[in-house]
Amino acid sequence: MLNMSILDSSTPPLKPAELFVLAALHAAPLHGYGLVQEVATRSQGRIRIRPGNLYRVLDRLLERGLIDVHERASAGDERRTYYRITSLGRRTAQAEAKLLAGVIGELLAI
Amino acid sequence: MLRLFLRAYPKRFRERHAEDLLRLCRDVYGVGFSPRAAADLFWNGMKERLGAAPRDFGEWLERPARQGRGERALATLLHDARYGIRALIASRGFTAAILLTLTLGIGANTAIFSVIDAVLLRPLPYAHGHRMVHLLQPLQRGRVENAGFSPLEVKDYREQTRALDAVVEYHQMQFTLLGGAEAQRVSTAVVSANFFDAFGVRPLLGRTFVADDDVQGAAPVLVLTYEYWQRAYRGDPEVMGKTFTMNDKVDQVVGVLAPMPQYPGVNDVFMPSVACPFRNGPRWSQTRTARGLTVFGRLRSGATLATAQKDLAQIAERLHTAYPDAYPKSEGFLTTAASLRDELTRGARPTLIVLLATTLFLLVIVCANVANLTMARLVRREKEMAVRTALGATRLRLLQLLLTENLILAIAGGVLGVLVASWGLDALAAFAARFTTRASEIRLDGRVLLFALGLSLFTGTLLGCLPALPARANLAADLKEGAGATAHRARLRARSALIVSQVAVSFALLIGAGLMLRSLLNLQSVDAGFDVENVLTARVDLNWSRSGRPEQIRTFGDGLLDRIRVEPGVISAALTGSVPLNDTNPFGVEFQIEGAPPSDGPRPRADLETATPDLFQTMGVPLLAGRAFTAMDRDPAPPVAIVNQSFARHFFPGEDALGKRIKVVGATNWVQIVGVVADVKQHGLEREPGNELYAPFAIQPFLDLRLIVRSRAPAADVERMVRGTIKEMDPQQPVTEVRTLAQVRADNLASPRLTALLLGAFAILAIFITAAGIAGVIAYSVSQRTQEIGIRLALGAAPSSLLAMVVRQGMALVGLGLALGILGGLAISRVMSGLVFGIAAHDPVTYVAGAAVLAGVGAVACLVPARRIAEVDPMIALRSA
Repeated sequence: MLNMSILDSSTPPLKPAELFVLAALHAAPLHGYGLVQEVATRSQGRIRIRPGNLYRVLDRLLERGLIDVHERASAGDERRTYYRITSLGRRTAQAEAKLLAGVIGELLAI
Repeated sequence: MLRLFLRAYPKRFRERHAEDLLRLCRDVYGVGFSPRAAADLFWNGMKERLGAAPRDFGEWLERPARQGRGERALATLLHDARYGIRALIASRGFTAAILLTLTLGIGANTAIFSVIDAVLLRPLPYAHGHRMVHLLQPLQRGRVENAGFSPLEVKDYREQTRALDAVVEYHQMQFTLLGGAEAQRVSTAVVSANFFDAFGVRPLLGRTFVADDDVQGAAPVLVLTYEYWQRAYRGDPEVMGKTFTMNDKVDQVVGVLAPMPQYPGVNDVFMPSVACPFRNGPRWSQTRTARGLTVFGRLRSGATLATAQKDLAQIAERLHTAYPDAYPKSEGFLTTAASLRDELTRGARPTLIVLLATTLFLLVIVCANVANLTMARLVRREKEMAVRTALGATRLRLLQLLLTENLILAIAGGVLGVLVASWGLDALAAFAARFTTRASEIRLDGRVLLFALGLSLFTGTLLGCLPALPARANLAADLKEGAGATAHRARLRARSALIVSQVAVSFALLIGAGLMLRSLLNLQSVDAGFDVENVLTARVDLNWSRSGRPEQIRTFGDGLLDRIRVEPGVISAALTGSVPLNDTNPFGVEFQIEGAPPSDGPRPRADLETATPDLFQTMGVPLLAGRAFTAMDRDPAPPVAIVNQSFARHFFPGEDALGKRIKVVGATNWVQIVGVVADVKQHGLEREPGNELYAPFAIQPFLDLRLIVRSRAPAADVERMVRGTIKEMDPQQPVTEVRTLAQVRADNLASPRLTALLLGAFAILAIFITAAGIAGVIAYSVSQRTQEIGIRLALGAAPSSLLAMVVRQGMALVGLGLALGILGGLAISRVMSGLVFGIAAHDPVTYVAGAAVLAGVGAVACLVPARRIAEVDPMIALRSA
């Protein structure tokens, strides 16, 4: 059986875009544009999160405490907000990934 | 600029992420305004707003003080809506009455709009529909609308045209499909290989034709129409690649077409033009005057119908000079083009416009009635409004409240109306299919729903503002008991005006329905020239590749009649080429009259028909002079013909046609006229009969035969016998279109009958609504005048004279309405002039009868509520003063 402690029924499952964002933040904190590019690279160009949607995803993840604001860095005259994955975010992403791995394993076995 | 679209997101979201989001948009979409960025922000913003809505709404409701103009307006709207719904539920009778009228009004308009949208407004469902034109070769002096084109002409126009980038041909023929349990007759469109490309039609399965399919010796292929594929193969994709034995060839199915309106004929399958041996035979393909093809062209981009017409006229002029024999001056040959879209809808336009006018009139009545009801209700709410005003409500605020209520009603009516429309749409589509092949496109889609929504909002707004228009009497008066006589009078005047308009419009509708009804009665009493009782007809298309030679047709025909005649119950049987009242093209021939002086006018023209000796007796067509054909009228006896009365009157005015001799162009023998028969309505009850020339079947056999059987046996038995006999003679011979002459006649009357029925239903609905309106106003007037009536009664007035007074007042409104209605009636008669038969559009009888009906209904509607006068107790009435 999978470890479902984090994925109790009250937590909504992660949407694909959310999972990709968490995965992208796994390695290092990123700002918005960095996230769009990282997700595109990881999905081999198949998933291009639109800016309008990216901030909805980030907003939900922030609300659930899966990510937080790392720093507001200034580059030239523009300020960029960097986001970073929290430990709850890491655990949730891993649990979700295991769950998916089980399903995918079954699919691949067929 | 993008900030504006950012506002689609909820405020909380904007506060957190606006700067980052705009920055990212610049990174991804570039600096400056980009529509894609705007769409992205708007779309996701709305989604975020919807996702956050439940939570925000809860918080917002709990917040004590509401900030911001927008939020306050929303709060007001919600409050009004809640209040409105409660108020509407409280007065259930009123709400039901209004909903019912609105439902009928919006429903009828939505349904008719969906038909008009599909048939008249939307572009043709062919990708190049707007560029397609129908090429026509009319004979100006010979009064022929379109003589068609010969293969040689098609080639010339295709090579010489500069305005068209494609010229395609079409003709129809009948094939016999073998191999099934029963031989099937298959209607086949024979077209140029680029026919589908020109129209821009893509196949649903497989492919359409390519140039290689249309060369001599190519493997025979065919493409199924969607309808035939569904009907005969239940949409089975496995049909692709199957082979069909059609007459003597084995064709392979290479494609199935998507559903689309079929023009100019309805067919089962399509074949490339090489499949038709006649068209490619030497007689047809090498003769410039062998005109039998329908031709379409596609406008080159940038070309208009006018430039195409000019281009075609120039080519025609060149051809007329090059081949003077093929284009005799006496006929007045022309070549022109008509837009395909107009041709497809020409038949339906007049009827649809009448229906649209009718439903719009109905909507006027509905609105007037709802306004009337709303005003009646306002009277009861006067005090409520006065209290609101006293507490500080502005006029605008009250208007807003009423508007919200009315919009709720109108939208509810709209929703119900769409349900009603969807319920009646199939019947309406079947009705429209009698006029145009585009009826297959009729459906309730987004456009129609948008129309219904627009209509609801429009009526709701109109009705919300209308009743508020009469000036308010002073507030103090309204607050007092039973006061405000001036306001009442103003309101009564407004309501009376509404009644007058309702009567006027009802009158116009009644005139429309009346004209249609009288026209139908006229059509029903038309003598079609034949006896419809106990006659069965059946279509027998002979297989032209197997038994197409004249002697084969004769042998089959004689054998068939010999067998049928001896069956029990059969009185007589005959063969001919067409059933009366059909809409197929007649076989037109030109001829010369022996001894006629040469003229430079067009040649005499008649429709050639074939007839076995018993045809006229079997159909009940009276022989007016001379004799019918006999078995002797065949080679080598001298050739004879029978003509109809129109023919005789037209070509031999004041003379006896009997014994005269004519020669059909292209024939070698002179033919003597030996009989004159009564006219038969060949092309429809409303159409004048043409000049008919009957030749004996033994001399002029047709491939496409109609068997006519008069029998004492029931039609079903005769049909079984006919099918059985033909199957026994030749199991590979299909029999189709089995109908009795009575059915043929009833079918011919079906569209005018349905039109009359629809208009009649609308008119009755209008009268019903109007009567309810009249009764409502009279009842209101009586209740407002209870005191006056009490006083009059106390002073000794007879109740009957008071009753007469009230009715007189009501009838004055009806009279005024009728007078105004004549104008509406004239308008509707004008639109209908193309639809009526046998009466003038301004038929006085219809006007008088309509007025009488409305006056009668109006009188009853006045009397019923006026009877309350008798119940007035003068003492009570006086005390309440």
